[in-house]
Amino acid sequence: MPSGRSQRIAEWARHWNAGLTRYLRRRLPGRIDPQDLAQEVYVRLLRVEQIEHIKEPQAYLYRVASNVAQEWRMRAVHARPHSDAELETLVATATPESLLDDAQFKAQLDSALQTMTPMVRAVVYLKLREDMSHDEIANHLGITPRMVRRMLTTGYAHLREHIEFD
Amino acid sequence: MHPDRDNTPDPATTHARQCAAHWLSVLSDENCTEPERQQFFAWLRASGQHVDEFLRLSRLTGRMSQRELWPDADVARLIAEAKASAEANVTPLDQPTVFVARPERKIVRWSMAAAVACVVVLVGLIAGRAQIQEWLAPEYVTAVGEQRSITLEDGSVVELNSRSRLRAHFEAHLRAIELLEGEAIFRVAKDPNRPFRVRTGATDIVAVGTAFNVKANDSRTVVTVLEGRVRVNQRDAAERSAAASAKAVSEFELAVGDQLIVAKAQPAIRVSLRDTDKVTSWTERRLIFEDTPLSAAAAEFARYSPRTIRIEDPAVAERKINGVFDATDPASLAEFLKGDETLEVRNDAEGWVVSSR
Repeated sequence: MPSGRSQRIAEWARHWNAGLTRYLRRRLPGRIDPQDLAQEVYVRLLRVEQIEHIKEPQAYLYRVASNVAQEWRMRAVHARPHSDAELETLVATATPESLLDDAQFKAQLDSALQTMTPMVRAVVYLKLREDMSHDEIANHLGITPRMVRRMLTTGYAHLREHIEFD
Repeated sequence: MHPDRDNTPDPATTHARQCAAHWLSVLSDENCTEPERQQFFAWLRASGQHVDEFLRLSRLTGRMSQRELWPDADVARLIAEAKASAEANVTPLDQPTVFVARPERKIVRWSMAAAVACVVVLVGLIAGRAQIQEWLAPEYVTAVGEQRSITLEDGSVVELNSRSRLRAHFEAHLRAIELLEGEAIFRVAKDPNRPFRVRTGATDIVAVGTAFNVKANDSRTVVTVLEGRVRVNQRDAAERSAAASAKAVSEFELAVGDQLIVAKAQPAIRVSLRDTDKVTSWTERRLIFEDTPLSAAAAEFARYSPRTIRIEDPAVAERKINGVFDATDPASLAEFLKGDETLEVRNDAEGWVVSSR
């Protein structure tokens, strides 16, 4: 039945997206080194048989990365069962650390935005905070979609340079 | 927070970062074209550093989707400043810079959500609960060369080999797993009240708390017990016995080291293995061949790598080989075969072609 099928696909996509969003938003656990993770992902990408069959390479990349992170997390949990004392420290430190993290991140983001040119800042803000499409941004700022791409590239590079993450 | 780099990156890193920023910008454009996506993938596959930089940037911007992390800003002022700046060298369109798009979009989203909810209810009425549960059962898929370790909701762990597909569906009195294709090791969490059943095309494998390897393709299922005991029913027989409530003829109790090979419409073959290392070697990406026909060895390699070894000569295909190989490195097998003077090994775009001299 077609509606059942599409329903299942929607559910499947939601299931994946939830995992991806988690992967993209949260800090990686300390025991996962982002560079090691990237290497493992890279090796898996090289093994892809027919690259022309992958229509959404970006989504595919995140899926593989999220799988690897999940596997490593699981392996770490199973390889070394935590003692009660260890667990207590883990639980105790979890919340304050993440709060501190947020505060640090906020401060870094704030200063990164301040050091951008007004146009780049506006494009980054409309894209990432307001989740606007490139055409919408172009309309609001009176520039071409090509300019939006260029400003966004500059903005992303600037953020990467000014914010420590993971 | 631990810095992942020093403050003056080398030129290669700077370039990789710049490219990552470019590609993320291109991909976030709704007008991004198919060739652009392919170019992006080619760029990604060109270097591990590209993957690293792109993932870092993605995670950075991903985190920025949390609105509470942003400083409060007056959007109208941001836009006005941008338009007044030197970069706005294109004449602005004569349009009021008011922010009205958001609320409209939310309304659209809600009405879509309502529509989806209606569809769910309708489907529920038509299809019935069991069918829906089957549709909703999570499906786990691995691509060529990809292996995954999955923890199921009951705590059982599944190692899923390359090019495999598995569905898990938990009921009150049964943990129903379907291995649709490929190979997996199941480490089953103990639960005497909820048997763990793995169904393949040809068999039902039932365990309570144990570990076993299952390899399934269209015509054949091979079950190997690594720990504890499992019961295997040949599938059509299983259905008959359920109807007649008689003990199925083709029911097998397997213990550690037992292997059962079940092919469609054929009597099952039971083997006792000296050790199960060969069966589980795939988890370490090793392939162990003992008097294995070359054709079977080549097929094993094809599960892990896009570069294949093709055999033109039927007599060569039957040739037996022995050795331990890295599953991700078919070149090692090609090299091994090149050492044989009676064989000719030619490289081509898809891998290697083997024939007799």
